[in-house]
Amino acid sequence: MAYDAYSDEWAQAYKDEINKSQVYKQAAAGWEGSVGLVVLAEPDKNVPDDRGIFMDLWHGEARDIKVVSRDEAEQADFVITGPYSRWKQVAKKELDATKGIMLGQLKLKGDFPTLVRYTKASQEMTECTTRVPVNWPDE
Amino acid sequence: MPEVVLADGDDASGLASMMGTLLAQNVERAPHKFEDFRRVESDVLIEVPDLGETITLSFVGDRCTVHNGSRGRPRVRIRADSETLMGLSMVHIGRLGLPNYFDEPGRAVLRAMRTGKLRIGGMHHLQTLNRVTRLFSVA
Repeated sequence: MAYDAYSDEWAQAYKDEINKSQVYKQAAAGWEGSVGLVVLAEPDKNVPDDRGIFMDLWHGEARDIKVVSRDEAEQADFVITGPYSRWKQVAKKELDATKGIMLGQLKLKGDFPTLVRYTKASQEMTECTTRVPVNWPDE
Repeated sequence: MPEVVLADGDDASGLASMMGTLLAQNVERAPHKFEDFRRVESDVLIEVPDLGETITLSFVGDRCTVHNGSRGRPRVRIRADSETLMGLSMVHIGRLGLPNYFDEPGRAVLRAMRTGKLRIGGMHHLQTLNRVTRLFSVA
């Protein structure tokens, strides 16, 4: 079953996928902090408004992942911002999120040294995204 | 207080922006790195072929200016793919202030050198290289 991109059902499926991952559990064992993803609108791709995803992550567990407003997502300890089409590339494994940040295609706000320490956890979170089937609004 | 400046301002590349932020935050959270920062006193070039990006870090006293591209006459030149570059930041620093190449992150760096994923020019400037390694280490 495919979920509408960035819907509540998608968020729940993504959370379940992360919590199923032993790789993530191990790589993020010491992680404390929330992560916000900001998906910038692209009206020509049927994404008329900015959206946010707020992830409450704690010691290798996704305690909560919910779709929120952009403002709420920006309250997280770490915030990654990018246009819809970039996030879609990440979810389709066409763009590695870390590379996206290094290329300036995704913008990161937060403590870089902490994020670098958890690169493997971040990569596994991206892997989890790719395992959630999605109905994309522009397809 | 050491200062990190992006020479190209808003036009700084993603890599320049990321490495500049990483350096600034790493030194800010670990004041014992101030001395290393002040004593680099040279240009350090970082080339990341899989991103098609090159930056130069120009250390002069309390200031490091991060340039897009190659500048000046770098004393140390680091050429690594993006994943290996992140791995370099995971190198632990031992009790004598020397990088530890005997644990897993250190062995990964040695493997990258053996396989050509990491090339370092100016290795005879060992003090500069060790200082830069300490400055970027998040481990």
